[in-house]
Amino acid sequence: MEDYMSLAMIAIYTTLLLIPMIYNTLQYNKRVKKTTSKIEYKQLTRELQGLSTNRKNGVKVVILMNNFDEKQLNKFISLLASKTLNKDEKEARD
Amino acid sequence: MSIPRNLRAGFIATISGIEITNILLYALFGYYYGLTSIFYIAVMFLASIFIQQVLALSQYITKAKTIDLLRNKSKKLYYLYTIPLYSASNILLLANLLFISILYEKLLGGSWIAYSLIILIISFSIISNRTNKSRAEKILVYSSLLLLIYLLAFIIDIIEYGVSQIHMPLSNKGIEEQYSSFVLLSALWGAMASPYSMIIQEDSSNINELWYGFLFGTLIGFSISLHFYINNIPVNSIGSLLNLPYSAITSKLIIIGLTSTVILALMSVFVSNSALLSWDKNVLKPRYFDSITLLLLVITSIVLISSPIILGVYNVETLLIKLIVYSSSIVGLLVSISLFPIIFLYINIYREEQILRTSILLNTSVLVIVFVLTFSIGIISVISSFFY
Repeated sequence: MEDYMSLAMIAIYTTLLLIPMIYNTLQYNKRVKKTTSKIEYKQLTRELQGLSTNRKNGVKVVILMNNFDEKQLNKFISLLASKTLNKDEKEARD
Repeated sequence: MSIPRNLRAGFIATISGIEITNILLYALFGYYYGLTSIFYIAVMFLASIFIQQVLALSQYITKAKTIDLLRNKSKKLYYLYTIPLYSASNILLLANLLFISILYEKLLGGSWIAYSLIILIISFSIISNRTNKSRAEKILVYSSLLLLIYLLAFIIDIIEYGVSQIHMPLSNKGIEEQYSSFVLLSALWGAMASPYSMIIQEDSSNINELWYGFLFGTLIGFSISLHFYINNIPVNSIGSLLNLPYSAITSKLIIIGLTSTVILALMSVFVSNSALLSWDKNVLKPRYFDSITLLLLVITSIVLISSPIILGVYNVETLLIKLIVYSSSIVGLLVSISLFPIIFLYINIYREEQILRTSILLNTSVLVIVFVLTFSIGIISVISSFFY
């Protein structure tokens, strides 16, 4: 009986410990992920800037891009990709 | 095959973090409490990982070390944090050193004072030699992996006896207990919370590593305690820790593992000592480092030279085991005292910082519970040790 009492105490203590520990881990990982995606976003912007300044008509886009959020950036990337594709297709046709 | 970085780091940190007091207490718990011991070990380990997580989180939020934050906040809290941790880690240092040197004396003959000085000098020279330090550390960490022999022994036990033999009388009651259960609990807490790792943990703010540490730590703890439970080995001498299957080879290998973990523990204590004692914000300045370590060397040798008078009186081995258990229970009390300033620090962080507020609040309240529980167990253990 004494053993089961102490086991019950241990179970309560374990749950008490696990609640903040799991919450900490989840919150921590969420934040770390957020910061990394922010860093990735910045890196991508920089790379794209380099890419677009190489193009003759890309200068205007670069100025606007600094205000882009993640969604807009994705849109922009897809737009750029389709444009490049069109250009390639055109070249191939010529 | 690539192993995830967190898993590898957690595994290595846990194995090399095991020292004599841990092994001894796992074995004692296994012998006295049988299957219940695994729950005690798991929950105590969880509590110690929680403390490390709390420290890592405060490092992540404030981008500063706990010890620096406390130093800037209040001198009283700073002393309340550093003095118990300093004394606790040095008590553990002495316990480890005494055990391993008396073990060598028993096996090889000669004087244990000489062995302890040799081990002190080896760990001192590794830590002050900056060019070969990391290489030596790597060798020590890998040789401490030999402690996995305990896990192997447990697997052999299961194969030999079968799972059905490990029946369910939860504990080995009926065996006359040599220690009060509060002393054992406080000692287990002291061994697991290892005060020096609280200081070293401050350098890292990675929380995910700790979970793997918990996983491997409990695995090793279970295997050691259940090995002693299944084989009914009373832990009353040094030799009982070497009681393993195929002992001709394994007991020699385990001595290598034990020696390397002891050296690693001594090195960690040296590092945390200099971190605790240096006033400068830039901890681990080589000058401070060497002088403090030397100071410690002198103090330790004084204690070692005076202790034969104490040890000469009784049966050395039984006394040594008792000494380690009681000193570990005092370490447990000291670690709980050092939790008190951390609670205040967290209240302060909650007032000042804007991120992870729910986490901070949850941590603070559970820290209070851990503090109250472990502190009261520690106090009761001190009182009850007078009656045993």
